[in-house]
Amino acid sequence: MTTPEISGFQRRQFMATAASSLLGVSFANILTRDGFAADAPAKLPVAAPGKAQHIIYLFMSGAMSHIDTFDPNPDVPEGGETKAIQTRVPGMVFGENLPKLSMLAGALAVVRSLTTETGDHTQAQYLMRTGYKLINSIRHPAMGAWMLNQTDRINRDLPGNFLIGNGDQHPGAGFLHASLSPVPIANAEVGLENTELPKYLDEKLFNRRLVLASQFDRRFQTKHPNLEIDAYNQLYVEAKRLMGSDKLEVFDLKQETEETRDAYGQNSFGQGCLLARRLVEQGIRYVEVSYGSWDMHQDLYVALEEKAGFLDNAFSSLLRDLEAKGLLDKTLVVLATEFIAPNGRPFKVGGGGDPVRELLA
Amino acid sequence: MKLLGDELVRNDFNLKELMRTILYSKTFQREATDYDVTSGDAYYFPGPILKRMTSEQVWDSILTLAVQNPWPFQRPDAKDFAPNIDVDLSIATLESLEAVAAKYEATYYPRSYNKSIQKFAYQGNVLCRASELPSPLPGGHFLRQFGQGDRETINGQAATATVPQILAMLNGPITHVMLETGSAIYDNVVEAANAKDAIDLIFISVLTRKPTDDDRRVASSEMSRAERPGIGYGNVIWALLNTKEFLFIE
Repeated sequence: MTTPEISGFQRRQFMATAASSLLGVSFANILTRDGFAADAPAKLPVAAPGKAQHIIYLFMSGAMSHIDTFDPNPDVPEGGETKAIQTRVPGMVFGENLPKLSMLAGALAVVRSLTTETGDHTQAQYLMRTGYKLINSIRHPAMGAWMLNQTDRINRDLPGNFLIGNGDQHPGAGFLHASLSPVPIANAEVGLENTELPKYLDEKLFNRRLVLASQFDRRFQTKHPNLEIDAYNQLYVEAKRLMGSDKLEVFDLKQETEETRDAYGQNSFGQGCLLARRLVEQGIRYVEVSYGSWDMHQDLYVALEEKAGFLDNAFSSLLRDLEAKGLLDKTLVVLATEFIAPNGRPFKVGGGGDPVRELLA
Repeated sequence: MKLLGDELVRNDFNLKELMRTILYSKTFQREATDYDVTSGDAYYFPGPILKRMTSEQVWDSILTLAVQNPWPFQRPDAKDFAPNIDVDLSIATLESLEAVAAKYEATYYPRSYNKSIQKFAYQGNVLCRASELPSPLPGGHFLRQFGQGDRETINGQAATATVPQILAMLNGPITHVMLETGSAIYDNVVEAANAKDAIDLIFISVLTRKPTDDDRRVASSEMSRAERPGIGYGNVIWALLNTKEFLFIE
């Protein structure tokens, strides 16, 4: 399959632009080295962004409320009940549910100015994962597939692109090679399942069965030169390579100390972020951690307190941990959501009322 | 449409007969094509676009081969709920209401309901038609791996290839349950009169077609290599499940 030609210069330019104007989070030595001590003050950022070799994309699907997290506005009635807290950056306030991140604010570039035209979750998520509008004719690749397409895998034993958590309707590799699509990990604590042969089956017999399958499939495959079928063929190769690989221990979160696991939070997002760090450590290029159920139409403040708390713990621990392991200067961490609706409050789409906003932090 | 309407009346509104008519029509049985007709090309009534089975179709197909009864229970309907939630407010007391609530909680709340259907489970997977299983299923479930939606947004269904799907087909419990004694396909194969019938039966069961001459040759060479016929049949079944022909609707 051919892919569009993108020169090295354009690629570098893309990365630089993306890093500085869109996502820019924390490069090099800006966090404390005090492990997980969340209230330790963070040093001010040192400008001089490096070139990202890895991206961790934390996607808050369902549309996280901006005025209750990274852009509180308690002085107006629309601001709701969430109080603002002062961050380490003078003049920048976060919602009260993000105390740990507010200590790391110097390491974050918060983009509060993006807007979007759609209030539809599916279309907005597609836009945030691909950079393109959802259209009928072609499927655009998500950013992980692009990254893998334009760079080499660092670790050749593992796929280079992962999607942790719920990834319904993920655009995957779009029109690029199917082998670039993210490997979904539904539950970080379980990791990748079914990687070992059933007990009764030895490798010799397994290989014999694979040969048998390809012989039976020859007629069908010859008759149908089809991209979707080819995607399965490519991933059979990938799956077989993974089976029995000792690199699979990257999924064993039990290798981490209880202290570390607790710091990230014993919940799907916390453990997802921890797995993301382990994957980056192993040279994985792109990891998306998707965290759903932000579409809080009821009981906003009850649901928000817990969820934002999980986010605060996981995201701050991830940044500190990456820094402690010397990975932060080559890893871009992005937190994003598809758009911002003032959840649980009167909201008129298209009524000229509140703007639908999109946030990147 | 007129013909179908007349047929419906002629068969005294028997929907099964109507379905039979449609399913046996040449239009319905046209073979799938790989790509849509692009604008400008002449349209010669090609068959539907080749698609992978939906996750529910994959699951139900495998289940039908695996268990004698793929429908051991049905999703509770209004009649099942009624005695648990039927309350006459004119005579209800706090105690009676609490008793009703407790009974409801013990039967149909997800936790107790999911536990009650575990008796139909094989290695943690409840073996029942996809339509009767609780929804949404957990993210790692076979049905979710194959693209069943999470019920957070509509149209969440997907049919794209992923690595976990393939690992589930190669190593997962769902594709191996049918290789065990007592599975529907196993019992049928054992009852077959001879090896040729058994191979025919396996092909018709898994791929809904008879083996070609090439298929027969490959299968019989496998049977001659196998230590026991049971192993040979198991290998053929497993191999057919792992063909793309099984996953796609031709």
